[in-house]
Amino acid sequence: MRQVLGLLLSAGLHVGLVASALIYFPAASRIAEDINVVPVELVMLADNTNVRAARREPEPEPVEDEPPVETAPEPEAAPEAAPEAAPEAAPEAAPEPVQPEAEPEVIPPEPQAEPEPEPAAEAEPVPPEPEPEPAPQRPALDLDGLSDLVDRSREQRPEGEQAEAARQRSGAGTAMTATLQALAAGQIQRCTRSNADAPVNMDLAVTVEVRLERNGQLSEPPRLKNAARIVNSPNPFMRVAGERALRAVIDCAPYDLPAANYAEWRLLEVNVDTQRGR
Amino acid sequence: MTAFSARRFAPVMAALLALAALCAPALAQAPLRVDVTEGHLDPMPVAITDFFGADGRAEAAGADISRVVTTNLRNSGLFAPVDPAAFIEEIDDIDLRPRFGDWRVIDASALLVGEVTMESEERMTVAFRLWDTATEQQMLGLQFVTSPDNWRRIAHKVSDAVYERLTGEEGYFDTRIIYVSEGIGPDNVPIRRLAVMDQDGANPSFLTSRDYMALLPNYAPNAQQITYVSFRDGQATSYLYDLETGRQEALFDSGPGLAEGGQSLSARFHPNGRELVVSAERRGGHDLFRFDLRMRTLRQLTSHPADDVEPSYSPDGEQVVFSSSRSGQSQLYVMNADGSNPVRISFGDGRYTAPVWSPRGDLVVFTKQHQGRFMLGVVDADGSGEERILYEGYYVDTPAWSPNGRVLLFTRGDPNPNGTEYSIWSVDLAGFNLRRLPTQGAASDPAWSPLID
Repeated sequence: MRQVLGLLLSAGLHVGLVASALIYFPAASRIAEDINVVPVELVMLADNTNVRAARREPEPEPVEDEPPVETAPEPEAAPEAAPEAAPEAAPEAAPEPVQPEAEPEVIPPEPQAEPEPEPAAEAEPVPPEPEPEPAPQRPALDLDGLSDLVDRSREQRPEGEQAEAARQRSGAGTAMTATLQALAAGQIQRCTRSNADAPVNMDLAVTVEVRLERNGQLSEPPRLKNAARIVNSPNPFMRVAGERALRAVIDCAPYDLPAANYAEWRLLEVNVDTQRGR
Repeated sequence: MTAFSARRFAPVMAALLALAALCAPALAQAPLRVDVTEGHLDPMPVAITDFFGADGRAEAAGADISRVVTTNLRNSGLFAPVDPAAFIEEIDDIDLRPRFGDWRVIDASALLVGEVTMESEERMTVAFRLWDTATEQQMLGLQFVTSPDNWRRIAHKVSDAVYERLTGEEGYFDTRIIYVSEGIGPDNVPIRRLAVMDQDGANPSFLTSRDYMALLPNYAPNAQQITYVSFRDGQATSYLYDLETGRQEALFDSGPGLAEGGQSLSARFHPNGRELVVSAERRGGHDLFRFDLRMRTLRQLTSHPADDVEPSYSPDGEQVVFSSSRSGQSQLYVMNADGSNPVRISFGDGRYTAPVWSPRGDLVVFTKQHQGRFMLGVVDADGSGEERILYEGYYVDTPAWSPNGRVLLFTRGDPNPNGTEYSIWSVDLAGFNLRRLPTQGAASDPAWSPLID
């Protein structure tokens, strides 16, 4: 900076000299670069409610019943909702295009950015930290013995029994629970958009309830816990965090988890907190 | 356990399992708790359809708008527009639910559909909906009414709306960038003129003539005024330039001048728009001053024997970050806006200069010179934590924040046979998405406007 300024200063002295010799510049002589005032009226489109259900197979039933867009009271009468200050805009609708001072140095309008991808900050993969969480124990049963039995006779039993047995077996050892947690987390993580772009020190943890079929598909749309609080949050980053979490668990289905343990993973409670991994 | 005993136990087992099956629904409700603490930062795949129109004119405008939106979102580095050639469903009615499966199968996480209607010669309606293809929910539905000439601004406003809805932070597409266009005149006299263009390089024009040098522009919070430093009559002076009226005036006429070899008077606006903070030379050293634009009064904020330069307000206007040589070589300091309680916030090796406070408030961007290299970095404004270097090169100067505090512009110098060639580059806060700003020829000293409204 300083050396450049020094250079500029010396050049400036020259230019200044020439300039002062030529003519006096009145302070307010420049052409204004008019900041375009766009007369814009903004209308919210009602959401799903006035969107037709799906492909309108039957007939192109025109205008009547479906107002395509919830036309607000009167376009003109909605300057408040508009992002643009419309009022004074009318006369200036055609902002004088500022001429680049009648010089051929016109800057070409359609420039090509020259991307130079330079990946920097790499998020180092953190090994999923399995948090051993003992499944509920059933006191009166000799689970070990039982699960052993179950294991051996698995082939002969119908599926439901198998699953139940698996549940019992996994209940017996937290290692399997931890493994399942790590397996699921690893898969969901792949589809999770990090919130690392949100401001630091913002708590953006959200929890999603995910119900799965035996084949790993979602058995119903996943649900955000405390959805109302998240969706209506005054913090837009919170709302986005909720959406990203939902999108992640949907995008990554079907899940590849051991069928034998289905009973244990048929319901997932996925806590997404990518801020923590920062 | 033997096979025999297994068979013997089979009936018992069956009974137990039947019992267990009865309790299963209740027990099965115990969820498997999964913690996801990592995620990726890949650009989000978005399908942007051509906004359709009933007639040729509307259709052309719609295609133009989609093209600008696509470019904006792609250039942000946060979105990956899906190749339209892959689209399966053809959308010709934005009031119809899309066939989400068609969009999921081409990996589009979000879908933008829109329609342009020419109401009259002077009136155009642009309506659009943004869909989440995973949850099959509408995320946004908006309609703009404007004159057809404004299609480009509308495209930027659509981009901003989509960006904000999908990231949670304000967009920065409906903005302009003022910079110094660098050229060489007759007799090899450098020409430095202020130029302005849309954020994407469209609508370029010059603001100042080639008869004097202009540099270091800074925007007022209302985007209607700028300050810059002008060399006229051999004198460097801060000017206030009203972009609406074209009126210019020299600040501090009778005030502090600039000594040869000293720092420029880089004036920056207070967030209230009514005051400036400026570094100027008085009695041999550079100090910081606060200038009241209405009263035309200058109040001294610092009086340290060392040079205090390059001040920049925090977004709440309560504090000022600046660079100072008070500890030897130039480092960064934060003080209260009245000049009290200066605290050093940079501690690394090298010279720290050009601090600018982030619009978000949490970070300060700086340039740093160390062992012959220049770096662009950010540090927590309270001095805690490590600094992060976002770019390193031959020459780096004059960083400027995007209005949402997510992207940085900076002057980059590269060696060429005639000296150093200057250009303006952008990089995001994570150090990704480095790209050159589309200026013609050499350019430096970027200033990014607030969102225009």
